[in-house]
Amino acid sequence: MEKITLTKREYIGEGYCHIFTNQVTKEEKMVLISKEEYERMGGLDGYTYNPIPEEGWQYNMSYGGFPLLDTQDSIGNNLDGFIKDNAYYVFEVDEKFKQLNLNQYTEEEFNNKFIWQ
Amino acid sequence: MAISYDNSTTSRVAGGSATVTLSHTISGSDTVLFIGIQNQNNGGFSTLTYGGNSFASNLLVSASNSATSNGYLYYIYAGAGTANIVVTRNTTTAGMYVFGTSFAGVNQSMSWTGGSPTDATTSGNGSGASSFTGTLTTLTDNSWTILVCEGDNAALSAGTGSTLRQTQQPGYVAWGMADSNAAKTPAGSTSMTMNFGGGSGYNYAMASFSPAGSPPVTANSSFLLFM
Repeated sequence: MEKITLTKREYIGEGYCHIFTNQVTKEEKMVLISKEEYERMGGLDGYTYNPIPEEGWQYNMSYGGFPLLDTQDSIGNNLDGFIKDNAYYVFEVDEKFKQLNLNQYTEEEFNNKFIWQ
Repeated sequence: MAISYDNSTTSRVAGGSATVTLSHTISGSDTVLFIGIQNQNNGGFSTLTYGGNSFASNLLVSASNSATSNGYLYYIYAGAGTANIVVTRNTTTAGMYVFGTSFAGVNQSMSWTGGSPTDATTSGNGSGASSFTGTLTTLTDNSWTILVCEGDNAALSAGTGSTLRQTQQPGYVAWGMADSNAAKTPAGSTSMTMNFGGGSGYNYAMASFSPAGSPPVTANSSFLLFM
């Protein structure tokens, strides 16, 4: 079986972000934030820390706990792979669900299926 | 006091993300917020809060379509105002879909279990169908019903007895939260139907919720009326 070629990325840390939606074009924009900025939004009056969007944009949601990688936008894309704590992780698009999954592999599983670019 | 629909919100995260925060504003009195989660792995949750208050122990009912996702329906009594729903999961393999729907005029001491419940739950899953119907027996006059669900292959839409408040459909599968948008009177069997394209499966987690100021209709209370 032909192995799938991956782009090897370096794991930088844990990422958090706000998501804004353009009110006209519906384009989504991600703005990276710190873990502290994210966590303070979960408290009793945490909503007071919700971001105030620029004109023409609407604050949509915030999320995090995702791997920050050495990509242009720090986000993992399809067929990006990285190693963290001796485990192998690969971003793979699930065509059926049209979504990006982050799958974990052992070294043996990884070597049977993938090859670094 | 009659139940009335207030507001609904939704958000989703893809594989790799552990936590999501979304703002939800509640208006009115005697309010309740239902939180529906469809998580595409079996890892469970570490944080479930609204305005910093945990609703982790307020799981009403869950459902599983092992091929696609696990559904969970939670509730929390929360007063009028704005706060953030925070859901943090333990495993981040695939996607997670979060829904919040709030209502006013709701019984503030509901019970879905125990000796004298005021309300009921049900759940289901299956495959090869293009619709499902969740049925339960309400225990209190003028109760409403709510569900969080997943259905495969094409758009999720409301069928008989259902009003779809929010939906997410990035690809093959759709997730959504719906309610009855009407009171069931007198108390008794009631159903919600949801339609979808059909395929590998569906799941739903459904519950009833009763209005403020109405005592449950039970065998004991009927007996007392005759005394």
